Parts: sequence; C-alpha cells; structure tokens
Amino acid sequence: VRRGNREAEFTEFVEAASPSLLRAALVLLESREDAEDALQLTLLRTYRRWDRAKEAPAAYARAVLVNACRERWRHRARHPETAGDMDELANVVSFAEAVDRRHVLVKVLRRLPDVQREVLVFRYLLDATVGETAAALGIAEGTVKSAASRGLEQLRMLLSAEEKRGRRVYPR
Amino acid sequence: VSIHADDEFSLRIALEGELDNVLPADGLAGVVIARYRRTRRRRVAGAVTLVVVAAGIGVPLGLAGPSGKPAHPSAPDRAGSVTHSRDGAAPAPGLRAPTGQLITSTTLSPASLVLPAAA
Repeated sequence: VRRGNREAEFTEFVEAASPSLLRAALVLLESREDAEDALQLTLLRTYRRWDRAKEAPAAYARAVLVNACRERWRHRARHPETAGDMDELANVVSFAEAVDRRHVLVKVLRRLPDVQREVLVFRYLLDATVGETAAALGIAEGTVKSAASRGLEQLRMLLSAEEKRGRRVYPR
Repeated sequence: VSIHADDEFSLRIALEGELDNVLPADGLAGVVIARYRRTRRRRVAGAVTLVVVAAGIGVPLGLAGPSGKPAHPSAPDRAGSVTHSRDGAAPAPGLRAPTGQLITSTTLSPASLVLPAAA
C-alpha cells in the first residue's frame, strides 16, 4: 500500500512538473536528447529520495536538475570528441528556426554566461523565488539578483541585435 | 518582467510561448519507476554477491566462522583426533568400562574414567 501511495504521489508530481523541468533543461543544455536524459536522471534521483523530496518535490527536483545539467557540461568538457553533437544540435535549432523561427529566444539565452542563464531559467521559467534559486544554485541571494539583472540586460542587447538581423523574436 | 522598455515583452510569456510544444513523453513516471526498480535489483544483487564472495574468502582463511561470527581467539588448534585420558596417557589397550564397553580414544568420556581396581 505504501509503495502504491509513493508511486501515485510521484506520478502526480511528474505529470505536473515535468513539462517545465524539460523546458528548463532544454534551455540549459544544447539539445532535446540531452534535456530528456537530464530530466529522466532528475526524476530518478528524486524518486530514489522521495521520502525526503516529497516535502517540497519541485524545489528538490529543480536542484537536482541543475546538477544534472552541470554534470552534462562537465562531461562535454572532458570529452570534446562528442562536440560533434553540438554541431548537429545547432542544425536542429536552425531547422526549428527555419520552420517557425520560434527558438530564437532559447538560442539567445544559451549565449549567456552559465550563471546568468541558470538564474533566468530558475526565476522566469521555473518560477523559483530568489531564495529558492540561491539555494538550488549554491550562490548568494545578492548574486541571484545581480545575475538576473545583468542577464536581462544582456538578453535585451542580444535580442535587439537579432531583431536588427531581421528576426522577429517575440509576438507583437 | 519587461525586457523591452515598452513593456510589450515578458520573458516568462515569451519562453512559454516558444517552448509550448516541448512536452515530455507520455508515461514518463512509469519509465522512471521501472528504471529505479531495475537499478535497485542490480544493487541488491551486487551487495549479496559481495557478501557471498567475502564470506567465501574469509572462512577458509579463518577470518570468520561459517556463520559469519569471528573465530574464538582461545579456541584450541586441533591437529588430530587423539584424545588423552585424565593423567595424560593414552588408555591402555583392552581397557573396559564398568558397563563392559571397550574404551578407545573415541569412546573416552568423564563417566567412563572409572578404572578397574588393580588386581
């Protein structure tokens, strides 16, 4: 019965939280495949510690997700021979842009420094508070605020540049 | 959150709009739970194997008893099956207990140590 409850609670959480976690992973990583792997790893680690995580599963999963994404970055840094994937992914993004030009914002976000990108994703995609973001990323709240401010400023500049190149970034 | 000065743009809304077609696969929770069970089974099997191998190596070396308990430090070394009588001498051949049983090294016990009166 206990296991059934655990599975039911976890399933409910996954249905509610997995879309935003996947989108966050997609912005933090380079490809859909990487994002899906990171999401599955995140959910697996969350389920493994469900008795503790169920108190605040969204916050727990967010913290696990950012670690999973960082592990993926480190793996790429150690294995540059897999950099070919990035080119392939760039083609995927280009294809998506060619189809409906909808991923310009994601592409621009990926050009931000890691901390700024993580902070913007946590604050504006995962709806985390400043305190939750600071706790999950292991940085001070002041750093979260300044990284968010600088990130938005940088984003604004990059989007302006994209618009000058003729790409319509956001719906009017 | 306004990115542009004219407030016509919200990062959150824009991101949600861009990524609204990004959805996880159906049945993701089931996949994760199945993966968790598979991993746990492997871990349990690995732990059991480790215990069996450790016991299999440890028992012949005398590091542990067959039940896993440490060997008793004062346990005597048994070099053979020779059993001596109370005075240290081996029982005389043909010696019999009051019950008439022939005393040998294997039947000697405190109850049988009643020697016949000297003739």
